[in-house]
Amino acid sequence: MVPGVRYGTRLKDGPVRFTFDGRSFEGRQGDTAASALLANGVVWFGRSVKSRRLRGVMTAGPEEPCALLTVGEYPNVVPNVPATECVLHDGMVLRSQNRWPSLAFDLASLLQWGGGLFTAGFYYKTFFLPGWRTFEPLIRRLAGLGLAPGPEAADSAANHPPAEEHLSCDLLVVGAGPAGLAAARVAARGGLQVVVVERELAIGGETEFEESVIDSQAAHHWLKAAIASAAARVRQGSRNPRRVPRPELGSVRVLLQTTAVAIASDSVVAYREGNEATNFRIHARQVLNAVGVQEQPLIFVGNDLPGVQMQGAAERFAALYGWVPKEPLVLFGNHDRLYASALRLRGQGARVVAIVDTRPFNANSDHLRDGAGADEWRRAACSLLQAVGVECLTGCTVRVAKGSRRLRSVEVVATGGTAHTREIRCEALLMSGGWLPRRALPVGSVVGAAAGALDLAAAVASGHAGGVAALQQSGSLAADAELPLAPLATGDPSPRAETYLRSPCATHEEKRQYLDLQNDVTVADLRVAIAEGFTHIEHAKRYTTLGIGTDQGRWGGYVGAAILADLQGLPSATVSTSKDRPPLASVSLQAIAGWRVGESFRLVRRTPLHDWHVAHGGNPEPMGLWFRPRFYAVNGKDAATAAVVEAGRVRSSGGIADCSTLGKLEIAGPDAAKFLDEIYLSRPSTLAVGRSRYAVQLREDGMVLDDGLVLRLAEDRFLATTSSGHGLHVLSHLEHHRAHRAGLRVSIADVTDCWAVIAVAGRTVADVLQTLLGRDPRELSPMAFWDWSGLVQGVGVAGQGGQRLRVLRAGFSGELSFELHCSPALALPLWEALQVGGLEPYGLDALDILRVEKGYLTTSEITGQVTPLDLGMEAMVTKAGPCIGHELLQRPAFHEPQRPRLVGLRAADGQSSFLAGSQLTVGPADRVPVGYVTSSVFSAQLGETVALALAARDVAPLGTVLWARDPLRGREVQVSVESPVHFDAAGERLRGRY
Amino acid sequence: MDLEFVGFQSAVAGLPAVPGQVRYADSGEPVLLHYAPGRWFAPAADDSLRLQLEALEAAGEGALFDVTGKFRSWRLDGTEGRLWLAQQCEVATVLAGRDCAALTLFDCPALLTKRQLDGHENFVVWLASSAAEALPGSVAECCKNTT
Repeated sequence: MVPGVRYGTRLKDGPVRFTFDGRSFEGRQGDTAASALLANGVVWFGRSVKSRRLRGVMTAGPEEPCALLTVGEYPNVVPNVPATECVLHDGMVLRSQNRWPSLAFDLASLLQWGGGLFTAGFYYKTFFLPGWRTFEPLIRRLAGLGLAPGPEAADSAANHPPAEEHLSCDLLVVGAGPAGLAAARVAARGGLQVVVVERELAIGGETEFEESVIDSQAAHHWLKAAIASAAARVRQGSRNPRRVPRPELGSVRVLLQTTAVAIASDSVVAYREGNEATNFRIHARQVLNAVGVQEQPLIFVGNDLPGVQMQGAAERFAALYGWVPKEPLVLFGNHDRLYASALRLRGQGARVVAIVDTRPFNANSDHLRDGAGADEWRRAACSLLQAVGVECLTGCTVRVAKGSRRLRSVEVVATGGTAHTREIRCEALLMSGGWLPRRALPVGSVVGAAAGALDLAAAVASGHAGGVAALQQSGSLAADAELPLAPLATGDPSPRAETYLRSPCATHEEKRQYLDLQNDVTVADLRVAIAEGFTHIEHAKRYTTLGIGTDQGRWGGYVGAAILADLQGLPSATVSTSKDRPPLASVSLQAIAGWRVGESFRLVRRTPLHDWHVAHGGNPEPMGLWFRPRFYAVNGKDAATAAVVEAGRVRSSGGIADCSTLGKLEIAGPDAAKFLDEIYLSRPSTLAVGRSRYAVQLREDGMVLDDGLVLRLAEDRFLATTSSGHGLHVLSHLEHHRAHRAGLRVSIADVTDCWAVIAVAGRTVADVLQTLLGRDPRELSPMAFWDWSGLVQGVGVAGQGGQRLRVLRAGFSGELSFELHCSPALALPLWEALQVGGLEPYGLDALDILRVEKGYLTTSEITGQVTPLDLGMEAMVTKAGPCIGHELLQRPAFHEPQRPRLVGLRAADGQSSFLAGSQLTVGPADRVPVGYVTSSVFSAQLGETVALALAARDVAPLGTVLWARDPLRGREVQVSVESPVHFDAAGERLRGRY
Repeated sequence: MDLEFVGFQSAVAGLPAVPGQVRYADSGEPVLLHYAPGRWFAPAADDSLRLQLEALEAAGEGALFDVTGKFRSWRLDGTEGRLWLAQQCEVATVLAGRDCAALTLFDCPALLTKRQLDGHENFVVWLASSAAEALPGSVAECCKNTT
């Protein structure tokens, strides 16, 4: 070994240069930011959120609560990266967080001198005068963790979203420690396809640094070899094993740096960090949780000082990265592993001066329970250590860690509570309060240390048994199968610890007994929470912020809950930890957001005319799943202005609208008419071929599900249109009822995308269509249609070559209207030909004006909570035959006077405007609404705001005056209740009579 | 012309009998996909297939729908095709024991079919036309760091 050179199992040859807070450092390939900075003598890594106390490195894994860094340069930064997880690469830029202007001197750290002022919940009780808003900007600036990426970073290479990959397997093993690998090994040998996810960079768990043996081999090598042969078979099968998971029967695929974080839709979501960031969806038939254990802290005064570290972390830094503290070192804990650790660390160059063990000799240690003479191991270890000058203080505890900006000494007292104290000078303190199971996925079974098998032999045996059980469960285990025997293993003594909550201290010192290092939650805060009545862990957690940081309470969550119980005089078992919610481990928001951002956020559907709309200022916006143009910019600077112009043009001459988004379902078969009679109120069986009808369908409970038109295409074939957002829902509804009518000869197909629809409305449209078709469309009686075959001027020939055109006399505007249903390929030439004829397009907002003026319904009125009776469809209900939901319309509750009724509204003064969503009250001061405004538009035709509303029928007969109240905007307008049909009530225009 | 035949029963004599079965042309192109019980999709159906399906309709076995324009097809060849699909589904599982399946890719309703080409396994995906327009953007977003 070369003096001054670090040797660690994860280190590789070659330097890595990086900066931390502007200073240049050099590390080694394979180093993490934590290991490299520690090796460079860095003690301070950041400051806490609330009190801005200096903090070092506490752990060596993803649960690190203190050393969180911002990686990169603004705007391309990633905040809150644990230094312990940040693998270095050349040129990396790292910054500490929560400090200004520098880590060594932080102005806001003066807050910590506020002492008791900043106890739990202080912000709930202060900042009332002059008002919260006065303080909010400053507090928000002080709060939070790190620096978020700038908006410019969205497209940068550093911010590429993670890839997604779906995997299937027979067995998913979470955790590649000894238990997990033993399970994977035997399961693969038995023929199962196994996927193992491991959050670390390497397999093996604690065997990476323990002196442990499995089947006479070094445990770490044995585990590697056990997995290697099966994993190799996966690699041979493909050029890119990450992307092409085709394992043969009986194989193991290990995903490193991958954390199982949640269950979603019956699959396990696992996230891989690093350069190949990937969101895995793992579809596993069985899950084994071998998640291992979490080392617990000990609570004493000043346990947050830089220099205090978890004992397991120091072992990992030593073995994996070749760093051990060079300063005088004290180990403090409550179990035997301290001694093994002290011997190992000393062998690696650490200056261990003392071990402080809370357990006196001959106490009821776990070893005594485990077997006679087990305590002798500790005595022997003590003798060894004492022989080399290490003091072994049993039955003692560290009461106070002393030092202002880093650890300088510890004060040790006897656990029995004697007044005698000793001070030991040291600059490093390694503590361990025992191990507790890590949080596991809420599926499958648990094996290994997480199931209580804490020593290596028990863990391996438990994992092996779990793998065999998985084989048996899978049913693929042949009776004569020769499985490997459970391997024999030996390792460090069991880490089962004597229960020890915290060191004795005066009450005023409890505000330095830290339970949450990110949010500076202390034992004193728990006392305040209890005094305020927040005695349940869920309440105390939210009141004190215990465990809400990025480590989610992994460091102090368990012991915090136990102390909460202890402070109330309750046994620890009566206070559970707070509820685990996914994700089980911190993942970046980017990982969750994935690539579904912006236009890719969700599926969007576009009509065949989408590009035309975009090119002509239509600015399509998402409406449900569809992109639709609200208005055309050429008609006005904003939607309100343009919509009035467009609607006015339709009323005065004519216009065209893209209505391709209407859902379209074709229903065919000898029993199609009978089936539709059971679905719709309006008895489609009575339709003649070539005609259509407005049709309403109900849910089973009598509420209106949707409305649309039903066209009879042939004796045994119908087309049903649905509202734009309801196509798939209605299809599902129809298929559901078709499936329940065995023997009915009817089939349904979704043909929404097979047809574009252009609405043509206004007094001039018939002439334009006549020019195109060579036939006057007014020959069509209302609701009749043609399946057009022949030349369409300027468009092409319909009815040939798969190009279809259907001309339907119907509309949604109250004008003489037609719907042109055509093949998508015909949509654009037809649209342009109509424009050549003088018809200009109108958007969704104009459509809204036109339909509200006429009292036509959309989903604003069909809310899922109204019956056809509420919507004024008594005549349709009376004529209807037995259909779904019809019978339930007779329920007395549907006829009560308080039921809503569709009404029209106008401002009583004829001038005021009021918005959709306004509450309707009888008097201006009433607080109980009797209804609400469902739709409201400004009608240029009528020169005022007109609206539709649902209002209780007993208080809103025609002619009543109500108040439309808009509490959010502080507006109250008197409105009069009228017929929903505001314009052309006689329907003259609809008939073409202008 | 794309056709969809929906049977009144889940199986129809003369058509692929097991959901997931595909009838291929000599060229290896899929011509009739039995993608769900009682449902068959015939992309670009030739006259003989159309006549067969019309005959089945006339015989009261089901209903035939002209669904031209409902789907847009994508061909995925070679390793890249499989990589592309792996972003959204586990192909080996989805097509385990079958040649076609109805599923959702990039949130888009789709039919996925194996295609035989020169002895190699390739794929054809039919995506709902209105949603397929948005697909290139989604694919580009999601494949940024993989292709």
